[in-house]
Amino acid sequence: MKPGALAYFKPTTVTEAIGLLVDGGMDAKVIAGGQSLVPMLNLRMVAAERLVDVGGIAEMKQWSADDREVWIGACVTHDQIQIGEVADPSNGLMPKVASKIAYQAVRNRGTIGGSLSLADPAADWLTTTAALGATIEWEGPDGKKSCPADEFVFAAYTTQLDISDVLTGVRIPRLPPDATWGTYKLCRKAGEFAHAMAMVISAGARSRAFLGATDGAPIRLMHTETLVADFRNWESGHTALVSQALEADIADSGREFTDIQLWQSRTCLLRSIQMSLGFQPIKPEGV
Amino acid sequence: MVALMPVGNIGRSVPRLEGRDKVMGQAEYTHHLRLPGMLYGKIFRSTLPHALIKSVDTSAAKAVEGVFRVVTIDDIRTVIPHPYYGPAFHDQPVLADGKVRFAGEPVAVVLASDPRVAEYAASLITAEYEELPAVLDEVEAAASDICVHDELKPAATFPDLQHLKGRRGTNVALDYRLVRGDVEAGFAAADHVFEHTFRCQQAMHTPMEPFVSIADVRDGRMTLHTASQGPSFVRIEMARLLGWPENRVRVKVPHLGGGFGGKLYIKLEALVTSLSLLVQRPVKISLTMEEQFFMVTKHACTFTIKSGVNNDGKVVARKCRILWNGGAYADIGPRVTQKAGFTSAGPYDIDNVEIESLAVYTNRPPAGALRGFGAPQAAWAYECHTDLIAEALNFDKIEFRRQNLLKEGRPQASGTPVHDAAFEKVMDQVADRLDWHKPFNRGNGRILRGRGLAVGIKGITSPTTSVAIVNLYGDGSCGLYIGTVDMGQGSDTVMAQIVAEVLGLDAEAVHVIHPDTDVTPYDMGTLGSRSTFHMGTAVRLAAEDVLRKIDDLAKELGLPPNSNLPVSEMLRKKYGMQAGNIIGTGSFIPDYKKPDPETGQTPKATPFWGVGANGAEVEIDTETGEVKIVKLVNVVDAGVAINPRAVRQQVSGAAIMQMGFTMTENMVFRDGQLTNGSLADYKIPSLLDMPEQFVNEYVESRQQSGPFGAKGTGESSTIALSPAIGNAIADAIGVHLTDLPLTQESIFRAIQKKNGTPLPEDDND
Ligand SMILES: Cc1cc2nc3c(=O)[nH]c(=O)nc-3n(C[C@H](O)[C@H](O)[C@H](O)COP(=O)(O)OP(=O)(O)OC[C@H]3O[C@@H](n4cnc5c(N)ncnc54)[C@H](O)[C@@H]3O)c2cc1C
Repeated sequence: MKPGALAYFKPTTVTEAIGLLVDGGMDAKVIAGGQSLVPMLNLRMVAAERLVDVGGIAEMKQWSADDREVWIGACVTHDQIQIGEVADPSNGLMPKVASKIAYQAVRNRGTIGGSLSLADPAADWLTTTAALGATIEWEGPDGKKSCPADEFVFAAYTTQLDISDVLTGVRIPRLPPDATWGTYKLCRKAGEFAHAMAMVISAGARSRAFLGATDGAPIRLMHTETLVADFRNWESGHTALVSQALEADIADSGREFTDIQLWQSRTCLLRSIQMSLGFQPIKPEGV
Repeated sequence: MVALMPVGNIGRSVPRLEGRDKVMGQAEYTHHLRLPGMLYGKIFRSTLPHALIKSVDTSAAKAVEGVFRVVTIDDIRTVIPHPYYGPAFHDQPVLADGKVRFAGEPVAVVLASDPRVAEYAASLITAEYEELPAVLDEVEAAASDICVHDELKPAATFPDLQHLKGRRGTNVALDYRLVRGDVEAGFAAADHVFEHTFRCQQAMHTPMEPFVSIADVRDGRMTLHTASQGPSFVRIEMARLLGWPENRVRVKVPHLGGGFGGKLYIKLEALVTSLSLLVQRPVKISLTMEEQFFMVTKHACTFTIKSGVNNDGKVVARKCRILWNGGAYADIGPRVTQKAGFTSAGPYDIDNVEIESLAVYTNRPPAGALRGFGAPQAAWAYECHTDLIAEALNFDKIEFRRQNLLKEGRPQASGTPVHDAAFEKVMDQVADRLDWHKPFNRGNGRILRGRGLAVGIKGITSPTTSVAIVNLYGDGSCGLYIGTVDMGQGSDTVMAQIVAEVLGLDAEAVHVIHPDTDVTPYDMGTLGSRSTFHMGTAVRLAAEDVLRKIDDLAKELGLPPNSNLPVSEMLRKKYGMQAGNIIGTGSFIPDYKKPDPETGQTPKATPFWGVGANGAEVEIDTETGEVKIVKLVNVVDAGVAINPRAVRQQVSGAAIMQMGFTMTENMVFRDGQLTNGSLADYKIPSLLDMPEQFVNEYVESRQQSGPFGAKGTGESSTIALSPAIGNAIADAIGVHLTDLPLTQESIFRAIQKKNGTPLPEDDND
């Protein structure tokens, strides 16, 4: 199928974009890389009469860095992050995550801002920005706003963005040089969204741990974080401890997990923790 | 005869004749065609799986500016009094007639000269239903008193279905039986008896070119431009529906963007014909990718297989019971039931066999032919079953198969002797490519590795006819007129090679005229691996007829024997200028004997045997159930490969397709509603899913009765692919999965259960 008739605008400033969105009201939509929006329009799952393409706004395609943080414009693509064109605040985590999003054609056009705005629970950047303690920035008719990434998403496909808001960028604090990370996701098929995902970052005595690809916002795992902060290396006894902590975390989150989701999340988390402790992603012996 | 030097067209990988046009975007497809005055039709579909239609409100749609007409079955009936069609049963209404039988069934059509207007208007139609209980599962439906159809209405063209005429109160559309020996006595005498049940899911053909047809009915004549695999059948069935002689119906088929069995028999043709007849203007309907799920699908099925086996490894008795989920309309399902039924005991030499194969109506989208015609579903059961037996009795999996495989001249379960079927060769070649007899790394605790193989058999739909015309023009150049549809398999090229070989030309110089029933002669259809064998033989005969006629002309002109005068000069001598034609014709129908209706026994069930073996090496992540196919080996018996590259392409293409049906593809229903009816959710394999090592080959062999020793190969690598992967997974994790597709989740659940730590949902013991 193809979308219905649309009016298309390509503003060059954020203010202009917001004006176009306000005029269009409910029937206007931002388009960035179009990797999620265009299929939804084609399938008529989303109706829009006006598309406001933010790809012409120069500042949203830029990035900047100092020794404390990196700011990434919303229209920076997954590919730019993957190939290291953008300064990396994350000791390699972000390029690695970017390289595992969908397949190259999607990465060439898909943007970090589009991914966060859409807030598909399985989106990699939702979990990654939350784990990195990033700040999400946006602008709307009422001016500029921002919030910590782990407060940005209310539920699946629902964020703090209002209907005429434009997500402008993400501010990411630099990890200390000795910080380590681990992440693992499970996909049914190459190039697909994950159906389970975990991410762990350890910096000295502090850890952050999240589950992604749930039924809503990424879940922060506080019990797990406390536990993992004490790990210096991986021991087989840790498996049971992590399982207990995870169960406590899931109970705290109040979210429902099916039996298989629980298992898959646990496996992803265990592997993420192991990886953050310097274990290689597993490979079969002798292959 | 004019003596000719062999020119080497056979066994040569002639590049595809249409390749350049396709690469340049210049190939013709029905989707591109627009006729003057043409209207586009968009379909309004039912939202319930089973319901009586109380009313259809089309008023809002009619009021949309630009809508030409909104059509329901009542309008169709004004031009076609009995608007029902179908190849096996005349059970399918052109539009829903008082009742809907699956969610997605066409109920009304909006016509407009702008397809977007038609689409918008169609979205404004509403219908009121009285909901009926629906039956979706084939096992339930076979015994249910919820009936999808009130009465069975077999088509007159299928003599073996006539006993079903007028049957009421059943969903069983065909009850095929085969009996050989005494199966119960066989079980009683056997040292061991094994029984297992396997299931296959409903899936879709997914041609990249969705269904599209254009009808232009005017002044008592009609032309259909349609993406069809069977133009001759379309003409016959449309002529029947209209009550016209065949010569007033013209069916034209350009290139096809894939068919895989979906575009056989009647699909959109009856609808566009009725619409065009009604409005006397050309009408085009092209489905979206999403609508394809409601046109025709691959049968789901449940197969219970039971075998008696002796300590020495001999299988002495086998009983098969297969229920095929045919969906709401029979389409060609009864033929699938019967053809896949008769080989469902596998490629094995078993004295006592009993087969029961039932076509069952359900409230799902109809199922029909799909690459392999049911043989892959059957092989999923019998080849997993074979490994299960071998494991239980500690037999070597290859030697156990070898001991029981059908040998040259031995009767298959139907009683038809097996000739030119290289079962052992394909199996051994797969084993060789897998390094089966070398030590194998089974992995460690987390990652387990396994390998498996399987062998498949398929009978070929019979008896079917092909007719070909070879025309040498005044300058001696050659045109070949055939109804075979080149849908990407390369048939134009192979047919050109055959004609060129006989006439001493280069295949590249032959022009193949695409199906146009006003021009090209009859062909039963491009289906079931039949074209190379059937049409190939007709083409060879037509070319030989040309040679005879050249000979006659030489005599008529008083030329000395072996003068080798070019045809163009002979014609010039005869007509005094560049003029005239030499036309050869050939037609072919293989020997066939109808099976005994009680026992299914016949000495001639099939013109040749489809033979393939597959092997897989897999790696399983036992903590997640992730499976990686490290190596996939597909080996077929192609007879003599007329075009080796084309054969390998068929082998790999068919294998990739079946890999999708094995690993990911699955039409998922909730309350009779398809929940994943788009390619965003229904996942076919992509380039990223190709196995690291992907081996596609054929063995040295010869089909004595085939053209230049060839036989069809379009399906052979599909047959045993699923069990090869299933057996490899079982080899790795020690559990056999019984249901397709083989998902991460089902593998993971099986591992946990085996380890004694079942997931809560599986903890029912
Ligand atoms: C086959 C496939 C597989 C995929 N797999 C993954 C995966 O594994 N992991 C993953 O994370 N993602 C995956 N994606 C999604 C991909 O990352 C998309 O690029 C991303 O979700 C959307 O980015 P976009 O720039 O294309 O946004 P668009 O499609 O243009 O927009 C998406 C939504 O966000 C809104 N929007 C976009 N930009 C802004 C903005 N600046 N301000 C406000 N609203 C905005 C749009 O209005 C729209 O609603 C996959 C996509 C496909 C097609």
